[in-house]
Amino acid sequence: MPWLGLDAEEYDRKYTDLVLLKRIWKYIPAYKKNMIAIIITIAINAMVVGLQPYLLTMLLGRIQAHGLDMEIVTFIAIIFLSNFISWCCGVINNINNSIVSNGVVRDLRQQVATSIFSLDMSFFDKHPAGKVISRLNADTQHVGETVNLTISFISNFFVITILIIPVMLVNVYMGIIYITLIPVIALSISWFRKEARRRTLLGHQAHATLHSFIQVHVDGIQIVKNFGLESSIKNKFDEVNLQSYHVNVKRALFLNIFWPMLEVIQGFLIILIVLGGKFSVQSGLITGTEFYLFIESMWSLWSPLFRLAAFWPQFQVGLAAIERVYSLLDAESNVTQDGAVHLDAMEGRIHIKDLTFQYSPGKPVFTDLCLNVAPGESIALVGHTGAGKSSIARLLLRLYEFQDGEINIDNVNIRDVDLHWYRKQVAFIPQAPFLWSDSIRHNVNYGVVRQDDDRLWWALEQAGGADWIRRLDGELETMIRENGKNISMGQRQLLMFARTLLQDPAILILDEATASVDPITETKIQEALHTLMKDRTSIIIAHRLWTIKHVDRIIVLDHGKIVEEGTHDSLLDQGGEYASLYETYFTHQSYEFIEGAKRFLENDENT
Amino acid sequence: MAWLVHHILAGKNSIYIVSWLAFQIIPTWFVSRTRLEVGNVVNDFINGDFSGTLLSILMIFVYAVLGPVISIIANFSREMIAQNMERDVRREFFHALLDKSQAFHDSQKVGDIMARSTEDVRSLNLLINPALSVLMEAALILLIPIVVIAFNYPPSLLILPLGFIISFIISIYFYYQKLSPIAKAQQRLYGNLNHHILEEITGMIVVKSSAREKEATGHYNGIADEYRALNIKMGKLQAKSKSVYLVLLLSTSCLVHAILLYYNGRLTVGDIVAYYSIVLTYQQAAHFSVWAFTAVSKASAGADRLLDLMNKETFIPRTTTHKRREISGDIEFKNVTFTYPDETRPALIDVSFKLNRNETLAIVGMTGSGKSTLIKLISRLHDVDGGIITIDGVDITRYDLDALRQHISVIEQDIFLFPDTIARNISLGRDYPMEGIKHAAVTAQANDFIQQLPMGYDTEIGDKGIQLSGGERQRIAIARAFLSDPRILVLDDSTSAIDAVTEEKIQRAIANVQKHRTTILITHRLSQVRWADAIILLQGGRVTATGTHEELMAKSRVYRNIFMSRFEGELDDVDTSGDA
Repeated sequence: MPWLGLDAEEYDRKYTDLVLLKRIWKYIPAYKKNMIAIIITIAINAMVVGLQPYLLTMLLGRIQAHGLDMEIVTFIAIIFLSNFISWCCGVINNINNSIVSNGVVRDLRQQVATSIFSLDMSFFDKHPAGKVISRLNADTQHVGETVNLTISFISNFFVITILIIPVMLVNVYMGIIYITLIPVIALSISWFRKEARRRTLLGHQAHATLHSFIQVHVDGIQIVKNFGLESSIKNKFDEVNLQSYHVNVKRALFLNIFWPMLEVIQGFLIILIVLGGKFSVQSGLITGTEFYLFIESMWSLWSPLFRLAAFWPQFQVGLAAIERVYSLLDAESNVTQDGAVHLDAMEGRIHIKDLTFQYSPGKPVFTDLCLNVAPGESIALVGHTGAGKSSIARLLLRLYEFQDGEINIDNVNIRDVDLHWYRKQVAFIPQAPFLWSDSIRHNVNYGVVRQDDDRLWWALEQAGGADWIRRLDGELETMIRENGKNISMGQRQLLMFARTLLQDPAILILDEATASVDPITETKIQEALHTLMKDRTSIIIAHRLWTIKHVDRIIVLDHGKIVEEGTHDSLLDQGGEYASLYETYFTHQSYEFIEGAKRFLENDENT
Repeated sequence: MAWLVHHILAGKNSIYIVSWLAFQIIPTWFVSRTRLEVGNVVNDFINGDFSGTLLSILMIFVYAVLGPVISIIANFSREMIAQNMERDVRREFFHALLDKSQAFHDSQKVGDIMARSTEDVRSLNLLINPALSVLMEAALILLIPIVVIAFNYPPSLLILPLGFIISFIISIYFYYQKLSPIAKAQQRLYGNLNHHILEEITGMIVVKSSAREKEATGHYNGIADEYRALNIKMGKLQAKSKSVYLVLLLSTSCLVHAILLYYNGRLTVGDIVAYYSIVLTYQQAAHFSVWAFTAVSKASAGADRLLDLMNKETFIPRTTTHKRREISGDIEFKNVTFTYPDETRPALIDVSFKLNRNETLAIVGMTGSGKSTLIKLISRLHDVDGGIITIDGVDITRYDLDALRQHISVIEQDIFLFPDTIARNISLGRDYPMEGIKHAAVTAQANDFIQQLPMGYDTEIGDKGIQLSGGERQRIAIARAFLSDPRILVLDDSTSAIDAVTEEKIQRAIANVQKHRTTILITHRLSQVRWADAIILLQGGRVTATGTHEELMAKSRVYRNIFMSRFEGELDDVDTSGDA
């Protein structure tokens, strides 16, 4: 989708053209052999093509003066041979060209992909996936095209030089006519480009509107059907479609003037040459055959000349793409490790000291937070939205960088551990369970050592039952659709639990889902959670009554500070912050609330 | 193919086609004429004859300057065909999408539909412009010189160009045969490249917390490698294309032939020059074709994908023979069985129940037990495979589909909001007075929070506007239902509010909306189930128990378990209240 990624991003930076060219140049040495082949074939080809008009002129001169002799045959043979060489050069050149440009694109893509995966989560919070991907896949493609463009620029430059030389030798003035053409064409092209870019942008915007219209209504198709809105939506679509059509017709018509415009310039050039030729031949400056050389050179000169003139504006567009790619490549991760400590076994002791953290400057989430969790202990974090519950989980996973204070795991500073190893010891279940569009087997096995079927079934069984998987046609091989669309929320969670069981982590971090599942599944999930929490350090961001009743300790957070801690009963007895939170968030899950629900029906009946 | 041709010829396009062809031929013919005229000039100059020069210049002006101007008309006509076609195909595609049944939409990925309606429709535009037009130009470049030569030169000079054209077509045919599988693979692979990285970035938090960055990068790199290899394969195929080579053979042979005729006294030097340069224009045709066939193969792959989707016949038959009638809202399921297309196991087996008008039925069961499927059948998003569903004793397939749906409102599990104002999200674009909309919002307990939004009812929702919480979305949906004032209300309610205040509001809204209409609730709120007129328990697509809360507590072990496990210690109270 080309309109994506057109806007500036926070991580965008300006590079000088020279810096960009130098960096692109670094990819070339890997393709040294191909580049040598390209340069050699370009040079040979330019010479051969450049000599053609000259050879032909000589041949014509010869046949006028002599009968059919060996020399003429030789001339023809040379012309044929030079054509043949030119073709061979073309083949070799194109193949190597394709190897180099596609190779550079691949190298760049792989480099950018590596850098994307090394960024911390704050980057992805700010930048939508679509835009990042557009740079990764579409802009790199442009870089490849720019490489191609540059190679063809070099070859056109050669061709023109070689074509111009004999012309200049015969008559300097006629040669000058050709050379003055370059800036004329370049100017008209750059004017054209500017206008074309403006219109193209408009066209892209119109397309974007159209596409988001389609997307919204395909997403909301069930509403459309349930309320019978098909025909009104069709009418609206026709309007949007027509609007996009009008804008794009205008754009396309404008772009279509381009080639004819250049051809008109060419037409005037021919007239100019004929006029100049008439004067020169009449005054005896050149012969008629030499005049033929001019004309013939003009035919061959035309297309390289045009490409030369068109090069710079196109190259500028390419540089813009390169700049976008490098901005992404150079975006820095905020999370950096100072060491790579590797413990034999992790106990799961967490020690947070004077922690200060903010997502954006001036809005601290925590200042001087302290929290200790003993190995094997389970704690629940509760508090209003924005109290900092999720932030603790994210910092423990080292997805974000904190500004001050310390986090120690088993008495080692979290900045000094080997991150890869550390994350393998910590399991995280996010609020919205994420699944890959792959088989159930792949999803359960994700991130853990390959397990045999018995282990997989065991884990699924432990995590709340595997009967629903046995009922599926494909069992473990059943494919999960995008974002787990074809299974329920509860089932998605169960798969995540099973995965975590296989991982057997020292620390479990769980962000409970807020959307409720059916009571039966809910019960299963809670039982699975119980199994999971046993004997490991567990930190749970709690939304469920059941959970807060069953953990060792409840931590009440308010605006980044711990205001109370203790068990459910002791905190309720205190009648403080927790008691009011309980009133607000958890009572409706309780038995009393359910029995009392009748009053809604009856109260309203009376009013 | 017939479908493509139909679209190319649609509407005013036939006029454009005529003007395109007409105005394309003239400039191409003019190009050859220019070369001839220049040949004459060279001849004159060599012979020292300058009397005709001015006339020649005038002719060159006409051919070389006016020609391109005329070609603008051709370009415009061609562009109109391409744009019209894009517009029409997109329209047809979108309209077809809307008419597809829910079963169809359930089976599609939104991303894939989007790709087809954008990229593939676009590739059809590219088919006309520039691919087909370049091909047409190539064809003209091949044919017009033949005509020019036939009229101006000895007929024997036609032999070589004609021979060339035949062998050229053969070589292009073989080239295309090799090309199209590569083009198809290319499109598929580029899709993979996007799809894969999108998924990885969406799940980045999982990738990172499982320490799988290396594997994810490796996977992407693998696809990038594969894509590169395919591109190089295509590059090699293009580079080695024989057609350019054929032009080279042709031009040399033509030169020899012309020189021989010169020695026979049948051609002048100027003729040789002109003839040779005319033949050289074939080079352009060769380059054009190699390029254009690449685009054609991509476009035909795109057309395949579009048609593939449009031709899936999954319409619900719209019975219109039956009159629209008022309904009172008695619903009955008699032995209903249903299996999703492409699946072997039925989602519902032998489901029977009866619900009287103005009563409330709650459906309880595990996820995957068939609850959502059941309610989809009532508004005929799918048709049953066995058994019958009746409303007021009449089979629902005997109702007019639109009329039926007007009487039934469904509030779904995932509440979808359009990126539009609150008011229009409640009215769904239908004509309702503002007071009506407000009244619906008040009854749905939504008025309070709407009033607090910056622009009230005119606040935009969505990407650029306000995000609403789950509870707020739900109340918007309930307001929609109020406004439609249906006889039957179906509520698929599995989200739960986080705080008790919202919870109370939602309970109240639901209580309001279910008054005086038949209501079917899928709910996980035990507070709702508790007070429903009837409850059915679904397990694995079968009804395993029916009754009121008290009855089920007494007779169903499974149902009892639901309550017990949740409330452990508090259960003593349940039993006493059940007995009371």
